[in-house]
Amino acid sequence: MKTKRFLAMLLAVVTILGCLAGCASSNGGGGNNTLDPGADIGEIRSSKDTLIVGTPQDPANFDPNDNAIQMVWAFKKNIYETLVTLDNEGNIVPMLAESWEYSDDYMELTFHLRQGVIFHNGEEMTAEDVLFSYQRASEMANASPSFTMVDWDNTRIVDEYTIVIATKQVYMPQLNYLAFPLTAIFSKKAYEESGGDFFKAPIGTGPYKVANYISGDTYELEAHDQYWEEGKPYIQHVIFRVITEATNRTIELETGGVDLIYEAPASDIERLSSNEDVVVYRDTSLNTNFILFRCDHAPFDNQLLRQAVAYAVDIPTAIETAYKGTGVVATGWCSPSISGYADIGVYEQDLDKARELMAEAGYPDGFSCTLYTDTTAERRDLAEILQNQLGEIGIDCKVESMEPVAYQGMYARGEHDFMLYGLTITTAEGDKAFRWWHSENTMGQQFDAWSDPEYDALLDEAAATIDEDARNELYRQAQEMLKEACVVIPTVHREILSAASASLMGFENDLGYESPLLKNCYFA
Amino acid sequence: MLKYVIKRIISMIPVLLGVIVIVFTLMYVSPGDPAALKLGTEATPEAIAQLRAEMGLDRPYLVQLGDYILGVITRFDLGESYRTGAEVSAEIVGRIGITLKLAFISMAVGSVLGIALGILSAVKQYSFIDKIMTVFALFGISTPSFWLALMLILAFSVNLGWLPASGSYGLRYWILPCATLGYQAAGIIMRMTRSSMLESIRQDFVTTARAKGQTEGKIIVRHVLRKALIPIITAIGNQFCYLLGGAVLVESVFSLPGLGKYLVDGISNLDFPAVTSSVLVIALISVVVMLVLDILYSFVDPRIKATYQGDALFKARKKALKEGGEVAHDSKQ
Repeated sequence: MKTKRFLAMLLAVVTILGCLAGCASSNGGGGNNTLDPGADIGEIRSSKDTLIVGTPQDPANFDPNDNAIQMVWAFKKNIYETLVTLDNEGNIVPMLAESWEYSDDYMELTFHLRQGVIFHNGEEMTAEDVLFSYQRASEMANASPSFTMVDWDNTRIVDEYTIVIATKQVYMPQLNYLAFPLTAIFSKKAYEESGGDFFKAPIGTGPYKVANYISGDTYELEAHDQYWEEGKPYIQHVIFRVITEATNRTIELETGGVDLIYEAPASDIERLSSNEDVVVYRDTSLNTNFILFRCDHAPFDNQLLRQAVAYAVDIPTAIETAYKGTGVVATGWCSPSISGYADIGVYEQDLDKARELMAEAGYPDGFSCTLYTDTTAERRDLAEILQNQLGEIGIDCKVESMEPVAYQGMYARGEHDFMLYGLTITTAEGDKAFRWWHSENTMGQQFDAWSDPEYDALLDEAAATIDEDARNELYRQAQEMLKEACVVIPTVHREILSAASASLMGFENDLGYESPLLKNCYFA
Repeated sequence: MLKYVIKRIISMIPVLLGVIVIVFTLMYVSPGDPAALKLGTEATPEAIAQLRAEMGLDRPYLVQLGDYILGVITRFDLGESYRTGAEVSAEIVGRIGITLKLAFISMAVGSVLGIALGILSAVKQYSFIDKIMTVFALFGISTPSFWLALMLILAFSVNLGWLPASGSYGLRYWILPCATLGYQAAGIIMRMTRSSMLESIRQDFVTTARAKGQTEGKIIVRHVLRKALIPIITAIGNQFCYLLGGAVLVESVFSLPGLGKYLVDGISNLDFPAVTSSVLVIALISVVVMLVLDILYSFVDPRIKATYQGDALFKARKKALKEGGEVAHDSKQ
C-alpha cells in the first residue's frame, strides 16, 4: 500500500512540476516585460488594431549600434530613427534633421534638427542626444565604420537644435553614412540614468516603442503617442513573430497567423501571387551577388583565367533557373539604383573566346578548381549550374556548399578559389559600392586579395570630389578597371520579397535598408 | 539507499565536466570566428580584433575553458551570450519551461498511448490488431521527427487549416509539436510494453492467478503489467532524455522559443556560452532523470530495493568481520 501511495504522490508531483515548468515559460528569457504566451493572438488581431509581422531574424537585442543584419534593422527602425534617411530613389531625405548644409570648404556638415521630436520617455530630442548617440556609435564595432572620417575635435553643438559634424578631409559619402540605421539617435538622459539596462527598455524617437517581448519569439511594439509625424502610426500595436523557417512564414500568412512576412521564400512566390488574399511586394534591392575570385593564389591569380570563366558562363540562364524567376540579372558592378553606377556592359557567354583565353593562359585542356557557396538554396543551385557550364570548356569545377558559420571561416582565411556572395550597398552611393576592392578597404573584409594602386587612387579622389558628375566619372573608370581585371563577375541584383494580407495598405519595401517602415501601414 | 543516491550524485560531476569539455572544445575547433560573424562582412579587421578582445576570444583555449568551468562551479555563472549580450542563465531559465513542457506533454502522450497499445498488442498477440499496432510502432520509431513535423504541418496547417504551424501562444499551438514527439515516444514504449508483457504473461504465477479464478483484466493489470513495468519505466526515462534532444529539431521547425531552438541559434552564431550551457543543462536534466528512475525501480520492484539493502548488509558484515565482532544475521537486529 505504501509503495502505491508513494507512486501516486510521485506521479502527482511530476505532473505539478510539469505544469509549473509550462507556466515558467511565461517569463521571457532576458526580458523584464513579457507577453503572455497563453494570449490568443488571433483574438487581438481581429480588432485590426494589431499588425502581426513574421520575421526570419531574431533582433536579439535592442541596441541600435549593434548587429549588421538588415532584418534586425527592419525591427529596430520602428523604435529608432536617424537624422536623414534614404528614399526609394536613393536620395537622402530629412528625418530627424529638417535640413542641412555644407560649409564652404565641404569639411563640415551642419544639421538643423526638427523641433518637437519627443522620445518615448516624453523628453524632447536635442543636439546633445545626437552628439552622445554618435560618440557611442563610433566606439561600437558595428557602427564605427560610419564615423571613420569624422573629426571629433571640430564636431560641435551650436545650439539646442543645431549640430556640426566635421570630417578629417572632404568626404562626400559622409551624409549617406548618417542615414545608416546603425547611427540612430537615442536619449542621452535615459541612457545615463538606466544604470546599464537601457537596451532592455530602449528610448528612441521612432513611431513605436517596446511594450513586451519574449526573447527569440515575440516582440510587441505599441504606438508612440507623441510621435513627431502627426497622425502616425496608424496601427496601435505591432507584434513581430520570429519564424525562422521560410516555409512556415508562408503558411502562417496563408492561414491568417500573421499579416505580413519579410523574406518570403522565392520558391513560394508563385503560389503566393496566385492567392487573391495575399499581395506580394517585389522590388530590386541595392544588393548585387557576385562570383568572387581569390586573386592571390592559383588558378585565379591569372587574369586570363578569370576572364575565361566570365566568358564561359551564361549568367542570365543560370539566374533564371536558380532564382526561379525572382531577382534581376546583374547589369553592372552595383545596382543601377546606386549613384555612381555606370552602364558599361557585362561579360556575355562566348565559349570560343573562353577557350582562346584558356589556351593563352597555358591551360588549353582545362584545369581543376573549387567553387564555394553557402547553403542558400538559390546559391547552391546556381553553383551547380555554373559547374555544368564550366565543364563545357574543360574546367573541372568542384562545388563545396558550406553552412554559413563554416563559410564565413573559410573566406576569412582566404581559402577559396572562387565563391558566391552578395554585397548590399546600404549607403546607395559609389564609395561604399566600390571600396570593397580598395586595397585598404576600411569598410569590411577583403574577399579577393586584389589590389591596384591606380584603382585605389581613383576611389580616394572620387570620395573627395564635390561635383557629382565628376565623381561619377571617376566611379565609371573604377568599374571599367574592375571589368578588365575581372576580379568579380556580377550575377544578380537580389529582389526584396515581402508578402502581406490584401487588407494591409500603405506597405512598401524599403530599398536601401530592406527594412520597411510600418508607420504608414493600415488595414483597409 | 541514501549512500547509493549520494554516490550517484557525486558520479554526475565528472559526467557533467566531460560534457562541458567536449562541447566547449567542439565549438572552439569549429570553423568561423564568432566576432567576425557577429559584425558581418562590413567589419574591418581592426573592429573584429577589438570585439575578439572584448569577448575574451583572444585568450588561449585552456584559459577560456578554465574560466567557463570556474564560473559554473563557483558562481553558477553560465556566461554572457555572444549573440544577445544577455546572461545565458537568465535566457535558459526563460526558455527551459517551453522545452520541459514540450517533453512532459509528449512523454505523457507517448506513455499513455504506448502502454495502452502495447498491452492490447500483447494480449491479442499475432492477431490483426497486433499487426496494425506493430506497423504503427515501427512507423513511429523509424520516422525522423523533422519529416513527421513537416508532414503534420502540411496536413493540419496547410491543407486542413485546423492548427497553427508555428508559435506557442495557446493550447492549439502545442498540439502538432507534442504529437510529433509523442508519436515517436509511443512507438518505442509500445514495443517495449508488448515484449515485456509477453515475457511475463507466460509465467507460472499468471497460470496460478488464473487457476485461482481471477478475472483476465485483473491478471493483466495487477500481475502481468506490474511485473513488466521495470523495462517500460526504463524506456520512458530514456525517452524523456531523447525527447529533450528531439526538441532541438521540433522547436526549430515549429518556431518554439525553447532551449532546443536557443541551442540551434547558438550553433548558427558560434555562441560558445549559449551552446555549452544549453547542452550542460540538457545533460544535467538527463542524469537527474536517470537517477530518479533508478530510485523509482526500488519502489516498483522490491527485489531491487533488497539489492541495495543487501549491499549495505554485506558491507556491514565485512566491517564487523574485520573488527572481529559478531556477525549480524539481519540488518534489523
